[in-house]
Amino acid sequence: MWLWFHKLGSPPYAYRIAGLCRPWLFWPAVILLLIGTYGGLVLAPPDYQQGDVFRIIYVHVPPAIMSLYVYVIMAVASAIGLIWRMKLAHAVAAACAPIGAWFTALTLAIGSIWAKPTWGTWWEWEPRLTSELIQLFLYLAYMALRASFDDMQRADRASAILAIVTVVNVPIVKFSVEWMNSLHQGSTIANAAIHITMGWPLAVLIFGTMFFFGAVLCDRLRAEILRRERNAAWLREFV
Amino acid sequence: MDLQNFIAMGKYGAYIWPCYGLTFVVLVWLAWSARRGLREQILHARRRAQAQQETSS
Repeated sequence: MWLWFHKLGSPPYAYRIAGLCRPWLFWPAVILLLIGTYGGLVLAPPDYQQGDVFRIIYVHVPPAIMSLYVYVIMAVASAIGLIWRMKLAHAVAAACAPIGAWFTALTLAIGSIWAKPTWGTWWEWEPRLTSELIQLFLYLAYMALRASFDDMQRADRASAILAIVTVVNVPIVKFSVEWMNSLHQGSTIANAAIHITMGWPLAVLIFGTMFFFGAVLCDRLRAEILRRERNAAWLREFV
Repeated sequence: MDLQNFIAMGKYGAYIWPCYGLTFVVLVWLAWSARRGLREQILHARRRAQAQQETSS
């Protein structure tokens, strides 16, 4: 286990592994996303309360899950980077941030379009929406903080501390619909509140989005490794 | 089920299709921008490697 950990921590090895993994994540993602979209738009029956507008859930829940999941990955990678002084872990966290930011922005935009016909408003300052908006600002703050340092090591350390401290917002977003009096509906998955005919496309799309995230992360991580290792001798064999 | 009904989505087509369109655009952008960024870094690295070889020989 530790040997594997060490090996994966070496930039040339990680660069190669990420390159090998990428197609095995990307193409399954494309297939899962196509199947899930077809299931969500065509096969699933309309909701008895919301009618067809509930179909927006299929493109809202997967990025919403990712907006939290990616930040947890960033915080864990940052902690590994700080504790074991593993440069690659910092590279993973840095590569994750823009992907997570896009997923969060997408979640907010789609939620807003869904809210208009369902709640009668594009936006409401209620716990779930507000904490998710804060989540977007955290991603942006993380990227801005990184960009403000010229020295990579200082950028790594400062942004890692930011990610570890602010990951506390993730449970706030997650449980805002249960702890606080929220306009937002409760969790579809945790409450098992969905029938199988409607649920399977959602499950497929969630997995598809995770695979897709993995594929994008592979590319971004490789670019990040090249940026950091620009003076390393091993690069000459790889490019 | 005919196509017209499918596009209308009850009366919610005007909300549903922009959501799916937006998701598609963002996913394509994420994949494409990551690829482009990687390609740029590979080109940079190649150029540096060549420049180093020329100075050393």
